[in-house]
Amino acid sequence: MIKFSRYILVAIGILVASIVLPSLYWTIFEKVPRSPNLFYSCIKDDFIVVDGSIRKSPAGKEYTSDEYEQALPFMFYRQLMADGTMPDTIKGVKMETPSIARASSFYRYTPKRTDAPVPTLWPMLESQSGKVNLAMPEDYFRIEKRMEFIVAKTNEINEEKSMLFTDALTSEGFVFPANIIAGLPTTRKSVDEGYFITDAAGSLFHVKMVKGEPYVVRIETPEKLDIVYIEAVDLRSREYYCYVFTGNQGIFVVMDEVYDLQRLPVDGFNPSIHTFRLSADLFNKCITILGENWYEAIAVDEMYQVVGTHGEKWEGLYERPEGKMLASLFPFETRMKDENSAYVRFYFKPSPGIRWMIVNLTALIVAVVLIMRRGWPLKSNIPDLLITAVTGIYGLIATQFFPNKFSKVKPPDKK
Amino acid sequence: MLKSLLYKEWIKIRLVVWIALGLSLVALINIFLKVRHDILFVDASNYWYSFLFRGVTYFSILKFLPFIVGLAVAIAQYFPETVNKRIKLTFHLPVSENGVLIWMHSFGAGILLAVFLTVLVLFNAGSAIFFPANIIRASLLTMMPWFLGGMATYFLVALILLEPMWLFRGLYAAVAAGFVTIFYTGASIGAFEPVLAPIAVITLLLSFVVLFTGYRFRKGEM
Amino acid sequence: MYAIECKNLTHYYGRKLVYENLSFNVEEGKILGLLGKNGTGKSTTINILNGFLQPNSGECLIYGENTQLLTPETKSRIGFLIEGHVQYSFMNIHQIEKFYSGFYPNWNSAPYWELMSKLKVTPKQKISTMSCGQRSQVALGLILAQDPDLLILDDFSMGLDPGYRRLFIDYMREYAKAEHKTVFVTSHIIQDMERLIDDVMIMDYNKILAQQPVDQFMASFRQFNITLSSPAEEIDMDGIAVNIDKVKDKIEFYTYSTADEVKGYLNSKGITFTSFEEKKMSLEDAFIGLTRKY
Repeated sequence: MIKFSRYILVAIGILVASIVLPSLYWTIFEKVPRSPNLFYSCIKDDFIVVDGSIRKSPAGKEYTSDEYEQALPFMFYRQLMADGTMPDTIKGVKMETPSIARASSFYRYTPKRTDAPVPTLWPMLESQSGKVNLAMPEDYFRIEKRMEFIVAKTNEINEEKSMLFTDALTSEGFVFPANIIAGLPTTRKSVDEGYFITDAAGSLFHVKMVKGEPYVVRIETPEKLDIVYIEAVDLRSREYYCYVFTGNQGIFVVMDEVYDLQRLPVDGFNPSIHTFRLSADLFNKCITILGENWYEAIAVDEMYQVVGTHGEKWEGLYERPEGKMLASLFPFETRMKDENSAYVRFYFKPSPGIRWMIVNLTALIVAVVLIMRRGWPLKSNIPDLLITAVTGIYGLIATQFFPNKFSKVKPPDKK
Repeated sequence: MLKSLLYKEWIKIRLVVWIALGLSLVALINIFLKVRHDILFVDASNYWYSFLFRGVTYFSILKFLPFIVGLAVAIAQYFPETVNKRIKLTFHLPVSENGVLIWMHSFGAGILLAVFLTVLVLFNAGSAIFFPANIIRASLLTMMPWFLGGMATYFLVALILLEPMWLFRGLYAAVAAGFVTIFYTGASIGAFEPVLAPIAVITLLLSFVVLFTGYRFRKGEM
Repeated sequence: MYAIECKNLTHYYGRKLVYENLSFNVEEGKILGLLGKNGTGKSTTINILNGFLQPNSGECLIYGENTQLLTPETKSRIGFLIEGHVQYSFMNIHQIEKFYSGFYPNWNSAPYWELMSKLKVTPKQKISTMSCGQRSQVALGLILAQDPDLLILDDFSMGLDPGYRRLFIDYMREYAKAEHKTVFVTSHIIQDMERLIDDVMIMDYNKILAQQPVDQFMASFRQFNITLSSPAEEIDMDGIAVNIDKVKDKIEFYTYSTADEVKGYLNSKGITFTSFEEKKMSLEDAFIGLTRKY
């Protein structure tokens, strides 16, 4: 029991050391990671890579500030108009501010979105109130055994409304409870489109409230989709309602009104580790998938046909000097937070390679020397030595902080 | 025999326990008076909204309360034992040394747990007036690491106080500070959910590490 | 039958030797005094006896049980007075009596309340606010109420007024003898100790200087005050002298030998003296004679 209590303390010592020491290390040595932005120029019919203050073509040609702005007329049309350099037409299309603004959108997905605690109560706005401004409702809904509306002021369920919506869902074949609920719970949007919801069977539904009545559409998917995340968007172009991210079947958008699922031409996207960016203009959409040390950019036209691709890879964390150094010092590190998740967990990150073995071996030798200097028999300290051999500096610190006093001490030699 | 032992522990901690309960009650009353006030002013649906979508918590003043209570109970219970190495008297009682320590510790931890459960039950009852189960559940999930942290603090401070050597007290304190920090990592509502079970298990394992310094004391680390 | 048996104790603090191969026994019904200056290992011995210290080698047995592994039954037969009369001072005299009474089947509160009635303390007064002498009476009263077979008293005289010390000693002697208790007592204040103890063990750094019944020790250890014929005379520590204190021509000669043996010794060394007298010693004088003044 007492020995066991010591090993618990040693284990906690190792845990704390594996959090604190690498975090100290990173505070000193961390460098800003590369995170380029990609745009597709309808003027040059090519990508533009923006890396900090450097803008260049995929071929490596650097652009000046003016060249850059002129290459992206939709992004900088206000500036170009002020300068008088905005072309009247591009690709035969007359340039007008409203159409440019309507077509422009930007969206970004990070893995944190999927792996995050989500609200379980949502406001159902009235989609066709007849008023110009949207208004927040007095109640919030949840979809558990049924769909329930709870009035905030009284903290009581509105039975009538709950029944109405539950029946509407049931008649469309909704299997309770809901899995993902995605919407824009805000009044600061152009129109309300309610919620996109997956049920317990994984089917996708569109649910909104029109003049107090439920509006439920079951959205047919081309195949059974493993949907992990949905994000509703409020596009001024009203092109699509939302993005649908699947585990490994790709990314879809749900087209407005017709509910067709349009698959984006992106392969190998993993929503739990990759970042997704999409910037749209009048002619093209530029999609960028970012990994830790690479990106893949795909440009599509208005018919979602691929017009260009470009990719780049650079040194990964553990290939750079600061990462190599860390991987040599410590066999692993532990973090409570991770850039790919909003949850707190014990994120255990083993160091790649075996260079840390040198430090572990040194730690082991130090441990042996310390034990022998105290006149403790090595035999009863084998567990400590094993711990030190495996966990390196962490184990050495932990076993010294919580010393092993269970081995019989022999008196020092008389000098 | 056990009754006598617990009687002594109770004499040591009772004042702290009553103060802790009093403070918790004041904190809870404050929380719910404020919720009531704010709901009157900004409307209940807006108040719910700020919790659900802006991550505004109405119970943040409870964050460090369990830590402070855990610390205070541990000090009240174990500091008097370390003055003049008074714990020798306890170990000399005609009971097994580990047994005495386990009983003392279980009693302290039990009282602490009772205080925490009281706070949580009252919090739950107060919240139920204003909020649906979904919000209460998210709130409890968010507070759970704080209360587990209070228990861990109690266990680790007891360990530190019973350690006979100052050097090691310092080393333990360093580890304890690093560990307890985990429970109070700033995080959004419900972010601790996946790690609650592991940290609860670790906290439970910490419940008897005090035996380690108890043993060191008995085997003559001076 | 021995209440305490310690065999071949060796202990170090780090590299500092406390003692080596120390052995001693305490017979049941006897009062043994372990005397020594500060830092000579009295507390080490007490800690080993109470199981708070594991010696590097050797062991102590109390009623046949290793002190590292005392059973609760044996512990209940031992009354323990911690150096400085340490007690749970956050309690008052009623609380502490209630506390301890739950642990000891033979608890007899009468002697405790008898002692308490002589103290001028209020019923709710915490022990921490009492004087040193009052605290000593509380600690003593608790031990008496526990009614143990063996009493281990660590430096009981520390911080006590002479009156309280005398009171404590007389009470203890009478009690121990009447009830046939065994007492192991340490002290660095020797005054009055001969009123209490049967056997004496005198400790010096790393060693035991004397270990025998106190009357035997007092009878065999002698002090002679000698005036030399010339201050220039040199006198060695070898031979029969245990300790010599020389100021000019006056010497204090401590020895286990008789007057005749000392005279013969001085003659054999060719040392002449003008006066020679045996001085009657108290235990304190003998202690200082044995352990030196510095």
